[in-house]
Amino acid sequence: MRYGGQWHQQSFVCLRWLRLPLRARPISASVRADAITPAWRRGGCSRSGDTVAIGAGLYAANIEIPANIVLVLQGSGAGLTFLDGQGQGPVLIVDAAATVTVDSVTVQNGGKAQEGRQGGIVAYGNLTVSDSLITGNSV
Amino acid sequence: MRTTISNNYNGSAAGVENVSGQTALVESTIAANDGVFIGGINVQGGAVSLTNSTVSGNSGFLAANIEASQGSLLSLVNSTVVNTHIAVGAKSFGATSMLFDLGGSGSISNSILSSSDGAVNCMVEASLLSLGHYLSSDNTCGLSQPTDMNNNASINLGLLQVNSPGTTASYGLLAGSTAIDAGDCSNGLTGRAIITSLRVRRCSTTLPNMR
Repeated sequence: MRYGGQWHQQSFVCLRWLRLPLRARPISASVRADAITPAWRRGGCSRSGDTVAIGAGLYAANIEIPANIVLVLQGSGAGLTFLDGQGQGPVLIVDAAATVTVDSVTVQNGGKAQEGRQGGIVAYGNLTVSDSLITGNSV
Repeated sequence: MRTTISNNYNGSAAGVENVSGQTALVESTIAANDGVFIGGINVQGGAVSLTNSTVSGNSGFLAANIEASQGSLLSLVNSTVVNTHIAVGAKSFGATSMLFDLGGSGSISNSILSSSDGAVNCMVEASLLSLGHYLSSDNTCGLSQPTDMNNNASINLGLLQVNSPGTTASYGLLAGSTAIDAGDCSNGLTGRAIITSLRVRRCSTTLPNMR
């Protein structure tokens, strides 16, 4: 889910993620449950060029980054930060002309065809993934 | 970079599907993905490059590990592609690890292709170029640079596992492997002398995912 646009000539995107119960994930107990970025605190809206730090935890995520947004999604580690599509479509869609870097997360349970888009990450724009795990995604 | 793509299931390509543009996989592992048509990587268009990476144990009807379609470009450098799908699913058409469609093209250098249980490494209808130091368990890719080694029965890969200091799974080389000291010393690959415990010595054909 996303809401994007321009305000005062500045591109932004609002990411709406739902933090899920941690279930049986091996999450480090030392990580605060609200380890979030200032962008997150101000309603989940990030400006183009922001780095969104995502703390340890399991998050329901079906997000779309619109065109002309440059964003870094910085997790806490592939074994700590889990972005879960819950079978409701891709975890992440990078629209054409968007530039997204995904670092240190696990992308999982993306699936179910959604407007012809499927899998864990669907990139029409520029995508860089590093130090991450993409697993358990399907159609 | 340093990313693992595994245990995904998809209709056309389970691991990576590149429709257009460029995708670079560096020090990464694409393993155990199950696609209806392509298991690991489907290069529909654009260009995909694999550097210091491992593609292994994927399963698909047309090609278990990689397909390079018409108009696409695939590059393998310092990488390892291992076909184990016969053992895990036997779904691949013609038991093919890599399929280069007519109009696709690819290049391979300093890399290993290994298949087991009667599977073949390549079905090539396209332009496929060896840049040297290619080591294969069969001769189906049709590559024959002076430094290439085809029909090699002694590649002797170890287990697919994380080999420190790498952070994604890769194959080490066991004793007697013909890949030992058979690689290209001039391509700037770093870290190739690190894992002496795996009997990998300098300039080995591949040291996938190592830094």
